[in-house]
Amino acid sequence: MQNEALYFRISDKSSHALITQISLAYLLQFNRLGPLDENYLLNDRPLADYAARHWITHAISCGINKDECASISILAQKLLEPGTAPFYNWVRMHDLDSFCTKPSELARAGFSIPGPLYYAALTGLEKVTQNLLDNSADVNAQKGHYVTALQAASACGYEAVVKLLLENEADVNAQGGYYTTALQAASAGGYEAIVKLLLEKETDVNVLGGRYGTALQAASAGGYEAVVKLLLENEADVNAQEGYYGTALQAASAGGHEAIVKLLLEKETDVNVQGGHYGTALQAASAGGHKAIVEILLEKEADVNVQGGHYGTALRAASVRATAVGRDTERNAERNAERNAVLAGDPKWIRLLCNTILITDIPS
Amino acid sequence: MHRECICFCHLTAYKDAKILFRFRWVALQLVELETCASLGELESQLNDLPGGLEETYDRILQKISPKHRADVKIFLQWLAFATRPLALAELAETVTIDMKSGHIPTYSFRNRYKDQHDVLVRCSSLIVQSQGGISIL
Repeated sequence: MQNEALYFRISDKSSHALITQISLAYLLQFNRLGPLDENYLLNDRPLADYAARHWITHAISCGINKDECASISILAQKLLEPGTAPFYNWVRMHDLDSFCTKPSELARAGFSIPGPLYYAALTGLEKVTQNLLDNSADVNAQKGHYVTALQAASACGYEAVVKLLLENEADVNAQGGYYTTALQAASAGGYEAIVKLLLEKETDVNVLGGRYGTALQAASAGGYEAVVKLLLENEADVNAQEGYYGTALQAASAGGHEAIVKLLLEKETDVNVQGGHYGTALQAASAGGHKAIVEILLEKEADVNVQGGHYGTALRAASVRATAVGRDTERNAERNAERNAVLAGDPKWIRLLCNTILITDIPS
Repeated sequence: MHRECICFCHLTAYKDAKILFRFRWVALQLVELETCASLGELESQLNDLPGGLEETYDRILQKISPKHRADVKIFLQWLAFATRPLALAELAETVTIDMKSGHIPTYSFRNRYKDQHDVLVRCSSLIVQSQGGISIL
């Protein structure tokens, strides 16, 4: 390679670092608190959308959580400075926390926006979290989809951030938001290490509320056996009733997690509790077509005649499932026959496909 | 003409890297040939075709003016590592940040290209614009 060409050698790390730096510097120019204008952004600041959406991905790719990216950490800390216009404007352009609200709300009021610590926790930016905590950010501020930084980091599985927050006296029993507690959030994602950390801080295992009602139900729904065991060891109540599935047993039955169903039944779970989306555990297992679990539940004298839940009865759930499966099997058989016919005439088919792509791809 | 080649390149990309290189080479040569103004130029260009893909890229990179090298490198880095295809307007904005060493990088309106198409000109035949955005050839 010639010297001139050598100049153009690029590496992935340095390129991600460059893109992060440019994106952050680009976002830092929006330093007025007034509402942003959509047309101005679109026509006069065309890179704003990309920068707002993707800077964190590039930052993580270039290793912002390690020590090697000091210059990028400084820029990131500048953007995530509490109460400043660039921070609010970044969230207005693209809110990573928006699960229910619109992702971009250019005139959003500053007071409705969670603090930078929350976003650092949500995205797993360790160094930034540390910096914000060092500069006395409120570790127990309550705002956002997950309400606390601890629940956000727990829900997303960022162990290092959870550790930092706990070291800085984050309240493990704060309640509110999608999962109500950090423990339920970590259980829902199956993050065993985080569940352990929270249990060590003596978090209350049996808080009721949130998407899954209890941490045990959250872990059962996801099929995280190790987490279920941990929670049972810490005296989680198997018969607590609350949340989408009503009980942990129904959650495990719906997901077809046989091992967890057995674990729960060993702890004297009541099989005939009514409530939740499927009414009973038996209906949940039937709707999912989990035969082994249906058998286990029937052995434990689950009542087949209970009325209620999404399908009315367990039998109806099973028959709806059977019809749907039958339809799919028919369709799959048809598709397979077609594919085999095509594959048999391999070279011809490939040429045909190439031709179709070529014709449709060339703009006239 | 070279559009078809590019489409074909994308097609073959999944099948055979060697064939892909071959087509890339052809596509790059065609772009170079298009810049010839006279029959004489065309003839001498044809007599002097570079051997491989590497050499072809080398030649194109060498032709980029030293004044424009820094910008071109930034464009290429963005194109290679952006998480989605970029529009020309977006790519042109990437050089608006002042990256002088020792200072915190800042946005500078003065760095903006008056005509976005200068991005394409400066990158010579290395990048192409299509409906989906800009991509490296």
